[in-house]
Amino acid sequence: MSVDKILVDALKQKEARGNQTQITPINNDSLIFYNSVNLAVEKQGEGKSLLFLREVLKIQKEKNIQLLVYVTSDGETSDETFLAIKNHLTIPVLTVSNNDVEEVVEGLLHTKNLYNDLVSKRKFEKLIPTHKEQIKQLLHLKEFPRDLYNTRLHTVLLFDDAAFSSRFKKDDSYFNKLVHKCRHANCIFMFATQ
Amino acid sequence: MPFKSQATTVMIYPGFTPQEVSYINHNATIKGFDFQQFKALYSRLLKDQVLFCNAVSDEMKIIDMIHIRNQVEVDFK
Repeated sequence: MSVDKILVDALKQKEARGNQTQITPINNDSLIFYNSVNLAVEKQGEGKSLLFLREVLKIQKEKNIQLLVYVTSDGETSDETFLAIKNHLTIPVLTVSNNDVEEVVEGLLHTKNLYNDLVSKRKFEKLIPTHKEQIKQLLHLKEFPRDLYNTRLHTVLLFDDAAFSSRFKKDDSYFNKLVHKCRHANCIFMFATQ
Repeated sequence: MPFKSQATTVMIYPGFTPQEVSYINHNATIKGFDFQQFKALYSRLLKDQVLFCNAVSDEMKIIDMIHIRNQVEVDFK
């Protein structure tokens, strides 16, 4: 292979990775972009989670929206707005508490990185079915994307009441760092706060 | 606001004082938009309206959620 051909291939790959990590619109309906950080700020009880759930309903039809991680103070879904809308959510929903969210998201993103790596190196198809099934379960996927090589999985992280979360108090906390590199983790952050 | 972040979008409900709006803007560190315009639009917000701002697309607009509340109230009567 010539040096120029190697350069062209390498630059094409770089370009493709760039497209996957840019902050770009998800679809014409939604206000929310891929790889974005979104804040809804209100005085108590105005329905900030409604705004975000409205956006989730608009983007969930996209084949690369993998999972909604719904973070509440106690890991329970007691929010009445969420309970009212829950049956209309077609993407998998993982509800976690503020205490557990770091461990859960770290594990989830680790698996997603492994999956992305296997796909980009064309090794995914060579996995035995048991291992594919394990990855599918860990990523909470119903099915793997049909267009495996052109579908980057995006995770929605909705913090229902970020104002009272201790996860953001230190500048060097896991989530403060993750927010700054969400483009590379293919995460869409939604913070409902006061 | 528990943290400081470079936000892509901010949706802010009515009811905050001008000082609080400045604080939210400072902590959200939304870049590339006219804060004076933001404040002017914010001062016009009514109940069930939200000021939306997107730093990437430079979009700033009022989102009206009144139709949802009205429909819910009509259906409950």
